[in-house]
Amino acid sequence: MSVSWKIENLAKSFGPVKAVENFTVSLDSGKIYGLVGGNGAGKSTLVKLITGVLKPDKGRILKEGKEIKINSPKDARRHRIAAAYQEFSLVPDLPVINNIFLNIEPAKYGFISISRLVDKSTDFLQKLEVDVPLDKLVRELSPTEKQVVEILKALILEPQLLLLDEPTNYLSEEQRDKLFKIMIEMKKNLGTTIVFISHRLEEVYRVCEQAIVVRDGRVVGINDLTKTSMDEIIKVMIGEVTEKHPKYKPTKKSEVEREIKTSLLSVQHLYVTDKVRDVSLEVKRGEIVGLAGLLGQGQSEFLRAIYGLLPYEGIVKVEGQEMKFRSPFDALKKGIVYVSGDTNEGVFLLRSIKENISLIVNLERGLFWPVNNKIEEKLAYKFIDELHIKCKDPSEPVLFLSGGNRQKVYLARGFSVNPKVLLLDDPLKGVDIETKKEILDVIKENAPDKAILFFASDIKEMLPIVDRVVVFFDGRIIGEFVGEQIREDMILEASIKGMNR
Amino acid sequence: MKQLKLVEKYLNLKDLLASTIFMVGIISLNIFVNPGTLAYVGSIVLLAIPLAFLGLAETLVLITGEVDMSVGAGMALANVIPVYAYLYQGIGDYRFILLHLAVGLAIGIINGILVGLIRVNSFLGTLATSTIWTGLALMILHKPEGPIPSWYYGLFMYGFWGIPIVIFGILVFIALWFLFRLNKASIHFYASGSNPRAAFIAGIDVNKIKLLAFVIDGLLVGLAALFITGITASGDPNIGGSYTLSAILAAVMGGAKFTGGTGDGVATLFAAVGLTFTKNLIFSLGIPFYEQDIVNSFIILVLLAIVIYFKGER
Repeated sequence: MSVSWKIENLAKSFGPVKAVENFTVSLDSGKIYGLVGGNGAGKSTLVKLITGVLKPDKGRILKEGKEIKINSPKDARRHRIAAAYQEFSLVPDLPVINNIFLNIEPAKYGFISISRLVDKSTDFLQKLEVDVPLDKLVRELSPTEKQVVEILKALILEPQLLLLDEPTNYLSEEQRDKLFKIMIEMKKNLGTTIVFISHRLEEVYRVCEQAIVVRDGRVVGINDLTKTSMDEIIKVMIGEVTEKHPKYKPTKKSEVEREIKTSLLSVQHLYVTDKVRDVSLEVKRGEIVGLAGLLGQGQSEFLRAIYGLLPYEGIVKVEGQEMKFRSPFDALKKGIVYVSGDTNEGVFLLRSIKENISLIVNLERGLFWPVNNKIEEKLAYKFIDELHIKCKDPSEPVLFLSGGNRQKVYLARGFSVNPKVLLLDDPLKGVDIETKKEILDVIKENAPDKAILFFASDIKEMLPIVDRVVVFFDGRIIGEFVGEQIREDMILEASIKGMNR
Repeated sequence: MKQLKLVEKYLNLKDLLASTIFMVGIISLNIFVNPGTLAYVGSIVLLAIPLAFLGLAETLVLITGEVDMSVGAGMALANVIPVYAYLYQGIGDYRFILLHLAVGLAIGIINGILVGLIRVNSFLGTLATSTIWTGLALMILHKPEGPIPSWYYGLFMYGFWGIPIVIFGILVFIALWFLFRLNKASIHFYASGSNPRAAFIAGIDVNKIKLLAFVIDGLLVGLAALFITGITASGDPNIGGSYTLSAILAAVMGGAKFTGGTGDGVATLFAAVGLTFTKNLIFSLGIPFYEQDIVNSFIILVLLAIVIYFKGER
């Protein structure tokens, strides 16, 4: 039953961004491989390419030396490939049992036998010694239960190639140990090939024989974990940055700022469900604080909670005054603006540039007193100039702009009200290099009277402009870097290791 | 025990309870206002059967996350063509019944191809086809015409094998619903509407499911037409009227959402019966003819608000 796999020259681009490039790796049966790499290394994209969720631009997959065609998840299932996805693939309106058996329902003439369904699932759960509420709707489950169901959904297919994308994210210590036990049994008894993705390196060391290290969508190292230390792996993950990147130099502006600094935003003991745990952060006027760390360590949730998008526990103070925002509208009124890297949620594609930019200004004026057309246009021209938005005129629908320019419109809206606090949630995601520079310049120019929190999944983006960097890991701040310490390699190391230096 | 709980899920008890309360409440109100209604309960329920089948058609499509704006017009077309065929081509035997279903099937296939294969937005696509169905119906018969084959009319007068036709309609309805609900296709319908991405990842062809939903929808429209033909004993190109809106309302009161993934057949049946009694209530209150629609729509809005309030879906 044991089968070997080979992935050859797999490649996938999203617009100008190459997510996976010339990815080649051989996988033996009965082995567990750790797939490790920093943000944007292409791990999740790779999983989706192998399971047919995404179509590769080129490359092929070989099973037992023979090329197999995977055009859809259906094909992947036929070839006994299964995955537990990081963002889950569950149907909220169906009970757990129907989710686990989705499209493999035991049926006769198309009719589901409920008794067989229940028998099969109880057998399955007993064998794995796992307990989940089979009759509960998925929408009623906790994140932990959802994670368990997502894993079970992959396991029930008895795959020959099993891909687990951050499966331990929501699991308790106990559940994690059980998962590892199951993985090891599967590889031993069934010869399953398992690819395990986790941001916690110690987990990779616990269950994997080899680590496939990826960076910028390529394989940069395949290391035997019995012979390689964690520090060495981290070194491969980070690559050679110390030589290539100049040390951080404080700009003139930030020297001036140091004198006028007073605390503007103060966050104390913030909790957001289980995504942010006890985070305290003080940001002074004129300060740009970079939020670093691997993706999904709670940075977005932290920013969204402050903006009133997510419910939280803890204290948020602006200029010493405690705030309790129930919605972004409350936050906007107090001069707090949030801009993400997702223009889908940020701009109104069918509306014009000027309307998109003047949105918050108009919001504050109320429904019946919108700014007049002249002021609206002036505002738009100001930002088209400042941010170099490439467009015909301010009346053009945002739909006609490129991704980078849409992002600039989104940012322009944020700057239009001259906010006190600016929350930037990976605003440069998927933007080309030139646009990145332009946007960074504007952020820096606007910094002196603001408190800015800047999360970037690619930390290289934030380094030139930040005064301070805090590193998130598993919803906590686990490191802080100031001045001379702000070096890419040191921050990356802390992000990956999950501890301070 | 676990099986029992799972069976509960198959019955959507919450939706069922809400629509039952609505139905029983409205019927009691009818009897309270006009005790004479008691004698006619059976015939009023029969009036609800076409609406129930249209509601079921709508439920199936809504489960997959689409909507069908053409069920009323489709029913009119499937009512007019067989009557025309009987009156002017002399087709009056069992083919009279088959013709109803065939027209429904054709309508379903066309809508299904539009939405499932060509990927036209279902709201706009079926709104467009609905005007075509109405146009065709008016081309074929300019005004209501009759009669219909006497043996077929007899079924509605004297029942089918001794079973009153209204009972027969309810039994067919419930049988069809559970035929669907116990089939694994239903799971794929719910999955496709609730989270198309998850359905796709599980290897389900979401577009094919939508096509299938519209084809079954069409057949049910044909069935609804069979009942409307028997009830009115004529072919009427304008019979569709407000049926589409009422059918969507019945489906929504039965638990369906416009975002897909939910819906229940039996609850839809009860809602359809309740809605028909609502209309009857307005009639028995002696509200003038031209104001009845306004009152009816107002009551419908209030009912919808109550449904939405209790579901907490604001």
